[in-house]
Amino acid sequence: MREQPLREVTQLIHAIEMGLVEGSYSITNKTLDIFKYIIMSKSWQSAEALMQIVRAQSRILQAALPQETVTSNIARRILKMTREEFDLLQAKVQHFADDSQASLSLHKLVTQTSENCVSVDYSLPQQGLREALLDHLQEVETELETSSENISVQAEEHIHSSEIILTLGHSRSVENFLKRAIKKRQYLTIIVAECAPSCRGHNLAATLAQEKNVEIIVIPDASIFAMMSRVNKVIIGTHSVLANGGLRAACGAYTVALAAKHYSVPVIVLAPMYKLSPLHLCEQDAFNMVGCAEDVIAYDSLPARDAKVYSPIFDYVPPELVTLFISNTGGHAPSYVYRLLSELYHPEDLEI
Amino acid sequence: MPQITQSAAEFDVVKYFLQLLEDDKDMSSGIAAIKTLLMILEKKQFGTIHILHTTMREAVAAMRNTDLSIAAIVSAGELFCRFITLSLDDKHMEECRQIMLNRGKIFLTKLLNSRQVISQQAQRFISDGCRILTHSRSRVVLKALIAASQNKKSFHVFVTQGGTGNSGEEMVQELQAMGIDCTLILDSATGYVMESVDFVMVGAEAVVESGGIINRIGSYTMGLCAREMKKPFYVLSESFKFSRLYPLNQRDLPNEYKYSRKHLNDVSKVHPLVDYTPPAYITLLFTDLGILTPSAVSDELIKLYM
Amino acid sequence: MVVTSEQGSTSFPVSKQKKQRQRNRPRNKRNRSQDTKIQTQIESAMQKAGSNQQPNASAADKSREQVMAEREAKKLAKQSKKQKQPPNQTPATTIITEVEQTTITQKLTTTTTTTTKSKDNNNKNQLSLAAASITPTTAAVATNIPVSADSITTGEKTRDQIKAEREAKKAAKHAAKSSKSVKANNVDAVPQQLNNLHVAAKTTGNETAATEVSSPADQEKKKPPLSKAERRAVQEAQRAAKAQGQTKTKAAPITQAAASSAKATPKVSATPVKEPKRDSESPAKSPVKLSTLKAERECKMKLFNHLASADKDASLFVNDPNLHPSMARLGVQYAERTVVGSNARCIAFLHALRQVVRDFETPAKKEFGRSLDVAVKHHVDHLNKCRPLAVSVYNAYKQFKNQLTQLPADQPETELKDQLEHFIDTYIENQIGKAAQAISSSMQEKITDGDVLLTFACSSLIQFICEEAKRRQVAFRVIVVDSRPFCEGQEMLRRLHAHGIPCTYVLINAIGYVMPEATKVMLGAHALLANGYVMARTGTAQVALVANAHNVPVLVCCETHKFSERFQTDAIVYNELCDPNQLVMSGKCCLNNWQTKSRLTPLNLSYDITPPELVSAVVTEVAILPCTSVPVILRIKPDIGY
Repeated sequence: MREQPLREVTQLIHAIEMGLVEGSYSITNKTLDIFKYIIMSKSWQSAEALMQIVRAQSRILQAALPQETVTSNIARRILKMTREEFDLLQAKVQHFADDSQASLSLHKLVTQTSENCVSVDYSLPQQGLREALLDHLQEVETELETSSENISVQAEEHIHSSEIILTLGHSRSVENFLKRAIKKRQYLTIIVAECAPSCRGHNLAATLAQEKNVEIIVIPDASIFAMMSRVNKVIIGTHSVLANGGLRAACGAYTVALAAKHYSVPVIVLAPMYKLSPLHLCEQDAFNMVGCAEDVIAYDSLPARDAKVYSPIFDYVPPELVTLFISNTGGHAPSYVYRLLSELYHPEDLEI
Repeated sequence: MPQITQSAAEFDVVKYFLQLLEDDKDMSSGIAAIKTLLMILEKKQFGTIHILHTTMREAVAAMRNTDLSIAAIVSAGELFCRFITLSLDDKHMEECRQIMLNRGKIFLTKLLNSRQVISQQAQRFISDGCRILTHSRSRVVLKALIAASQNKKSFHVFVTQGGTGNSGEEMVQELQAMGIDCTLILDSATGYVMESVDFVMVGAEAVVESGGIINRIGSYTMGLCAREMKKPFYVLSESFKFSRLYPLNQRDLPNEYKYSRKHLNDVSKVHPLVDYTPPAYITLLFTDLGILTPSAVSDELIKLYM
Repeated sequence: MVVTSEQGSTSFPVSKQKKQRQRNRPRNKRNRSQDTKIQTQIESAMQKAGSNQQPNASAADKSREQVMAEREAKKLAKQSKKQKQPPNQTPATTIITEVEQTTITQKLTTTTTTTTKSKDNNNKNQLSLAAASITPTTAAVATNIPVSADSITTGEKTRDQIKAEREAKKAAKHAAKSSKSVKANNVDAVPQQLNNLHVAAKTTGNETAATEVSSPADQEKKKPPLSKAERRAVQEAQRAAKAQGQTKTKAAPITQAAASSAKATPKVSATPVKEPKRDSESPAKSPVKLSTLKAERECKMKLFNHLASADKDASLFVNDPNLHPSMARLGVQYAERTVVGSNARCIAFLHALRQVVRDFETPAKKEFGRSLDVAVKHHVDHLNKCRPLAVSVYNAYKQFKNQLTQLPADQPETELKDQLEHFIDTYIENQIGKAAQAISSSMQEKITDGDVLLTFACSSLIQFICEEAKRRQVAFRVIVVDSRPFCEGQEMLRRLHAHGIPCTYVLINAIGYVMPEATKVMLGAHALLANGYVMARTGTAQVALVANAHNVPVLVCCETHKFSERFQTDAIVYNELCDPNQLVMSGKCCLNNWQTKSRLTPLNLSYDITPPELVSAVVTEVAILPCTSVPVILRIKPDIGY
């Protein structure tokens, strides 16, 4: 492909790589801004052309930032949105509605006829598409902005007083969720596994310790299993949710989930909708990312010279270890993720 | 209604059906069944919808009476009946028939293409250097493995013999012909081999509503082993095999699924041909509708039949 | 150190008296220094000396009874020490008691010097003990501190003390709650705080050292009963120095180091001192405050209240004259964790025990066996206070006791001693040395070419096995999994690397990443419990858990002398809490000053419990066994062992 990245895209890539933009939420937001800009300012004539641009830029982002799946997710949202708006406008014109367009199903397989199986021609110019898209985009933006809030309001439904909750590392969703829980429920005990080597759990602990009526215990990662026998609920964030309901989460989440399984402790994963990715875990190498090992063991230390040292960033958590997902639209079982995905994205956009 | 039976008899359903399978060894009995039914639709004239339905049902029953395992025939037949129902309009019967024939062709092409789609989906899961265990012979698994091999991936396949037939040996020969590294193992060696494989990939005769599968005997054992050893258990299956059946356990599985027709009178001394693998043992299903979790199967069936 | 529970229970009047005394202390000290009575060890004995001299200095302030009461309190606090002074002192015998106390302090000084001297020997011993994985330099540092402390002039000290007190008062105003956390802290935490205090006084050179000594004294005020606080204080200072990883051998550098560390955690330093200060200012209020403080502390980590004060009182008894120097040293080493690891602790204990046996003198008209039993029990109690006994140590002690009871009565003492020493030597040789070899040889069958062994933290036994396999030229590699805060895996990595074994090193989070590569997991153990659970360094259970999820066999290597008769099903009922400050990362860390945040507690557990279903096999010198066979071994053990 000879696509050239937009200036905004290169800037975003640079910012993310330099760590200026951090966290899934900010990245999603920034990506959305870029697509908004594309929709508004780019001179595209048809839905097809717009989708091409979006795909091209998304591919660039994906290639540059293979781990930031949220960029592709938001691109898929835009593509689906474009399709929907186009179909809607077409339907108005042609009085033909086909709601089965969205997903591939047995039903569709059976009912498909030669007339309606002709795929919609997106290359036709369509009046009012830009305006409709911008309207729709507004909705997506609002959803994004309120996602964290929408998740944390559900805290009361899941946490009762005097609970002992374990969390790992530092996730913004978890922080808000727990803060809310602390406000609403008394005598919570929150155990924070520090998540070495970055030890971001310390930040979370320090932040939560400012609240009242709560007891925060910071433990090293090695004590997770020992403490799990006393834990009522595990609440963790995740980097993304995979198509089978598995997680790509911070390193250590696998151990936490396994230990929770061992003691039959429910594992609640906070995942706003934009973290749902229609991807499957097939290749470990592509899945994970290895970070800087300096924090694990000093480079100049004697034993480090000949040893291989790894500091992976992610852990894969299989869906059977997850009890519940809490997204901004409510709670979902891991087995239901496929359905959310099919509602969220168009099947043809799974591969961008 | 004797005349209908007669008209059905004029066109020998079973003979045509068996002929189809004879001509193309690679054809699934489900596809053959659908082809046969389409042929009936094409060849016959139907006065009423009711007659059409009856004819179809009788044809399916006739095909079920063959010695082939019936799971795929049943599900394909059901799907076809559903297809007829959904395609019926208020128009004239003859007009309807034309529409149906037209749609049926599209339907069939889609189905024929499904193996291709499935093997495509499985490609990313077959990584270079991996070790795969498969049960007996499955055409769709074979296709996926061949496709992976053609994608310049090298991997090793363990194939179980698969009971009394020589289907496992066939599979091995076919794989070897394609230059794929493979080993034939005893069915009873499943547990032993499981430790060293990366994942299990099997086909299915039918996918039931729970998301579980009905497949050649031994699949359940393999699923159990895979679960115990924490290995992924992948099922490759075309969507026409989705069937409206909800077995609770092995005993609950209807006898005609488990035994060939000649043994149906007395099943106490014969070996079942298939077993039921509950969804808990299945990691993912690769279908022409996409890569599904077992829970999504029920969803698909609901969408079709509700 | 911090207020002990006994103190809490003492009646109000007594504590009031204490407080008054504390208030007067600076004055007293000055008097004392004029007296030049106990010049060598003034700082340490400050408490006692103060109380002795108070009647002279300000008779109006304190009646003799008060003094008496104070002493009573002290005695109480000393608890079960046999060397208690005569409990019934009448008011008339004040002078006598004074004399007694002086003698005690003198005793103390002698003990101190002996220990100091013995420390050099200790260093050698430590080096010779291969198992004791200590850096000898730290021990050297430790010896220096007491020396420097001795050399300080008393005048300086008092001045410094006043300064320190003022500083402390200021500090006390901030962050009142955090003082409680002091108690929750391990022994190690206190010394650090002590060191920090000196820095606050901004003295240099010797003066710093002086304050260092004085600050412990301040703490003594808090707890009058700690008559031997001085000794302790010195040792704490050493410990602190060690804790900070200072390997410099001069005293001055150490103080500087202490100063720098204090800067890093200034608030920490303030907190411990604050409480005593406040007490002295408002004696009447303090009891109430104490109680509230205690209550608050209890709120913190309710789950671990039963463990919280585990090693708090450790140094109380360090100066016990009935304590053999080798045991006193071992106690310190245990508490400082310079001797770690089940085997190392056991060997060190047995060596110390041999010293005790050798130097033991049967009191007049007493039976050798029985009196030795009593003496050894006293030592073991002491060690237990320093750090809860390792199962291996406890077992060794039990075997030794068993041996004692079987001693023939008619043989001369020297012969009996020889017998006992021989017993100890054979115990070390058989139970630890030969067992390791037996385990290693049976493990060799399990290590084959292409194996990838995964191990957690540091185990001398696993190291031994790996070295043996390397000697056999097996082509294998090792994945060392490690965890903060102990990072013992680095030591393991170093040792394996020294033998040319290819290693991979990850932290415990990343275990899911490396586990697919591993073909076997080999773990060391602290103890094997009678219900088949494995007690080991915290994190072991997690490794076994993940290994189980990947179907990698888990082998626990454990000599039978570590088998315990205890039953335990979780890691919380019985455990050890280590210094929570170890969790705080160096440099900028959000956990800095966690003591000031009442609701935040770092928790540093020592051990965890691995359920038997996660363990494929236990490799012992007897055989490779399933976990469930532990009770069987326990039953037949007397036959194998002694």
